[in-house]
Amino acid sequence: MQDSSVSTVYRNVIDDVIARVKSDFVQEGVDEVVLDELRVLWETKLQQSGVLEPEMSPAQPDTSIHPPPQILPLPSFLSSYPSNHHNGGIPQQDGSDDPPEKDKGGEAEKEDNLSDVSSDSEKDEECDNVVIAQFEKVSRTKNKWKCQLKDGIINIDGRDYLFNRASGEMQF
Amino acid sequence: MTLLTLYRTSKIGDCLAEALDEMITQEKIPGDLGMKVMAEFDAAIYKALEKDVTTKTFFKGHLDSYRYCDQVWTMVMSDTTFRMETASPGGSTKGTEVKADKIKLVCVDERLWQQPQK
Repeated sequence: MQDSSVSTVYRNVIDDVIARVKSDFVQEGVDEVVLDELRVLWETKLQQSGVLEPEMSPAQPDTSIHPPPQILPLPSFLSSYPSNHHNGGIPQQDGSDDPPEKDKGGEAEKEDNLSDVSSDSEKDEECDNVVIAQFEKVSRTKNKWKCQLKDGIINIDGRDYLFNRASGEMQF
Repeated sequence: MTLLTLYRTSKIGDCLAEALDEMITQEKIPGDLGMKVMAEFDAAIYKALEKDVTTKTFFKGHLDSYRYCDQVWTMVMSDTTFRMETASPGGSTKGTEVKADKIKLVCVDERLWQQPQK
């Protein structure tokens, strides 16, 4: 029994925000239906994000006998992804040779590569485990660090955990 | 990043921003009203963590790197164990332990919140 489970806290936050902006919506002449739509959209996205504890979703019998109900087809852009090889198909990874910028690979292709790189790194960033918090005190003695934190959100393996206060010890 | 917008990077903040984005694009919500909703979220999530959450957490791990800039600590830790303890009204304590191979800590100075904004 956890009175302050993540889903309860998040539900309260959603309720709170919707209540706080209600008068602003009225003032701007935006229909209340739109505000409801915003709430539903927010809640749906949060459910789908998987940060909430499993108890929130309707209980499913945990039988691994059944195969997954459906296998999603690969997005079409994935199948065309590794198609732009330079250097006659030999991947060049040491970078010691001249980059084949001028003769091979037109402008459009270069742009493609750049956008691939940036979206990849964004994804990496997102699946990292993260703690967001405020610090009260961070101190260090030799290689031992101590922190006092408050009001934090921990995201580990896609799940959220909340804390009011936290203290930590780390070795550098 | 200021303290006020710190929690926008959380998943719940991210979901709200996405929802607002969609509805602003569809011209159902004017942009400045969207900004207002985000600002109210900043206040609401802070209040919830301060008032509704009772969990205390202890963590231990290895500090790989650290940076302090503009009153923000960013630390990367590895092999970190988090022990979370929530006291229930009955007096018993519920504990959970979670491990992370690698985790990034982003902490803003709490005193920033008390400073007048804008």
